[in-house]
Amino acid sequence: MTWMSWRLQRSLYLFFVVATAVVLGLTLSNGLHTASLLHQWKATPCHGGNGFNVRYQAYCHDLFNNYMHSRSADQFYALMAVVPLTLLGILLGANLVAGEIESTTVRVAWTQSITRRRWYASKAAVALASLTALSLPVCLTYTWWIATVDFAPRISSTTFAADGWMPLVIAVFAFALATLIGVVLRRPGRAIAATLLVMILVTWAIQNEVRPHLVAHHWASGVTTVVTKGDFTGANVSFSTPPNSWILFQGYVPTDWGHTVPTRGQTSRWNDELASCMSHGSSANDFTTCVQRLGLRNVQVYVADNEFWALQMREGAVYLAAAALLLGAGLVLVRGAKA
Amino acid sequence: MTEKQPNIQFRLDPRSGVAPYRQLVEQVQRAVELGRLRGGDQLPSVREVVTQVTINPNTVHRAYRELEHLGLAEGRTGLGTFITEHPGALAASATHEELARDLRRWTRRARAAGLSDEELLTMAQRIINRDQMVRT
Amino acid sequence: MTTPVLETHQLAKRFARTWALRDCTLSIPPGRVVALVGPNGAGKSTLLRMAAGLWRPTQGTIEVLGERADRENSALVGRIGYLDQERPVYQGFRVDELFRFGRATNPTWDMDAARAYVDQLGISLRDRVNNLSSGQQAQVALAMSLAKRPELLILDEPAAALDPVAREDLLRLLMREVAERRTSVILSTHALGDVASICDYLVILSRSRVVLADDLEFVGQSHRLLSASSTATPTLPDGVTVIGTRTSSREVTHLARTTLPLVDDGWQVSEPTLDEVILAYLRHETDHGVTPTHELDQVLRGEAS
Repeated sequence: MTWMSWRLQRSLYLFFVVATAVVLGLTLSNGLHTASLLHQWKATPCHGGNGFNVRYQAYCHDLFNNYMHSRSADQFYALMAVVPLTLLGILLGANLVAGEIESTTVRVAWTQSITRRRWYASKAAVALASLTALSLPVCLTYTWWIATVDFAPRISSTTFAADGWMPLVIAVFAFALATLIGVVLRRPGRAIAATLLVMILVTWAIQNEVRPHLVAHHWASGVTTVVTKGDFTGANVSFSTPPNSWILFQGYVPTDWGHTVPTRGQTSRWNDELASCMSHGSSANDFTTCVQRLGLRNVQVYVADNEFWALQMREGAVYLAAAALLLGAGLVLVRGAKA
Repeated sequence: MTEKQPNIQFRLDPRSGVAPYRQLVEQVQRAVELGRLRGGDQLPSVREVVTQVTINPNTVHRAYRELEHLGLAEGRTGLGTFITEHPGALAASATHEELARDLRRWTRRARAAGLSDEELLTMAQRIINRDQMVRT
Repeated sequence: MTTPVLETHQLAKRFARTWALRDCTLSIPPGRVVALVGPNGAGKSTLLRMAAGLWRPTQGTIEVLGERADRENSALVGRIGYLDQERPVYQGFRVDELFRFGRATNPTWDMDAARAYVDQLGISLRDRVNNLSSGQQAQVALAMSLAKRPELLILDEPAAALDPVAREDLLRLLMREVAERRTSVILSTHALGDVASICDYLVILSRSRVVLADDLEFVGQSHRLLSASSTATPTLPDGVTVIGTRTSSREVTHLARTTLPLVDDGWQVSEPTLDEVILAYLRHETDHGVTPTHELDQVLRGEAS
């Protein structure tokens, strides 16, 4: 049954192996190119932008632009880490059961001397093994690429899903989801459409609603210093937040506020209070006075960069636990499914 | 190894209204009558018959059992079914059933055509007499 | 007491609001080649798919080879060879790949037998199944179900849409198998000629109900044509149920099921052909199904409650 599971999806696997190889090739070449530009930028004479001879200004300016260009054109590559694998997961899942129901070959498969359970488990196991095997080079390449290209902070919405083992767990989840939806909807076409929809919703929800709760938040107060430069007076705010942290919230909260991230409704109320206070005078000193009088302080809520791997593990665990549940549900439903 | 040709080639007419096993029995009887099957000849095995004709093997078993019952054939364990040594006399008596059935069918048709019982008997007598004259 | 190959009790299957099968009670003895006859939509495929364990009953029970067919039972499935009416094909598979699948999923698979079947028909193991003619595809599908050496074959219109030569080949292959292994067969068919030549047990389904289920031998013995003049029709004898009637200007003919030896009583009695019996049942319009022969016998003899 192992051979059969592979044989049924053979063309899909071959296509994705080739597609992945192409994508990885492009990513590697881009990563190496960007890394070299970054290295040049950090070396003499530009020193990463920290004090360079005015003589080299044009050169360093161009070098920096090239580096940023090489890096930004490939926000697209971050998608490439997740999309092909997830697509493969969805196609594998949609065809696992629904594909054979649509083509009525279940009437052949389920009248041989194996239980539907074993049939399902075998097909799922082969699909999962292939997804994992294909994910390995992808995850390694992109983790390397993100680190090399110096995408920071690593815990950010754009690159987190492409980093570490996230491409693998997302693809596995997509596979499990597509399989269960396929069992219920009985047609691979419908299952693919429904799964894509649910995937968009779920990844958005996990990123925005679940991720903040998976890891410790820290609160840092902002120190406002008034700076005068000629006749220009401005306020400079600095936070004790460590570099490359993921900023969950920045703004004004009452000094006695607890450690919950305020809602939009609450923040807009305080901002309105500030604004009405500032209507009397809009200088920097007036601003500090208003802040003090309203009893507010400037805070940043952040997740430290060193929580990266802990977050990867926990968020990955959420996806995998959900995938296990979905596959289990599929197993139960397949036993009573109409052929 | 070339297979020996079977001693009799069966035919089956599924729409004739005659039960399949009956058809096989009658074909054996006819073959014996015409001398194509002689005492000691082996009837094709059930497997061979099923290769010749698309027929249920149980039907073949049943036909052979009927032939044994009629004394026309005998089964020898491990070897097959064989025509008995003096099948001729028995073949003749066995066709009485067939004749009776044909007559019943003819009678029904004649009645359906509107003939009365008297007319039936007259026609039959006439044919018998004519046939008698032809034979002598 | 031998175990029936198929035993159902008040078996029924409903899809949304339509009953595909109702009140199906059967007890088919082993060692038979069973013809399942009926118009399209009568419930034949429904019954066969439930017997193969693909569909679950809505009501009633179904046992195949003595075991419940409505529970997941891979051991039972291994003893049954099934061929679906739609003859599903694994797209792009070669014959040898299909057989490899068969071997992987059936402990009793006989690979030599499978290869021999297709070899005899001139089909190469390396042919792609969907490139074969429909006759050859049916043969390969039959070989698939035969190679696991089943005790029971369930075939849903195996010879449908096949040219005459292909269907002869298929049915002959089937009969050879029955001859050698004493396999029981249940096959649904529209071809009444098949019923007479290869089957020895008949089940007639009409409008989702069983109207007849009996050995062919007894069907012949228990049905008679009764003819009389249409101007002077006598009363029907006792123990007779009329299934169908034909009238002409001169004559009335009933096809009837009888349980008692018939007293002529002014009727001309003759034996109907099998075709006539089957067609009469299929044309017979009833609101309720006619109970299967053995139960009717009991009723008429006053034995049943």
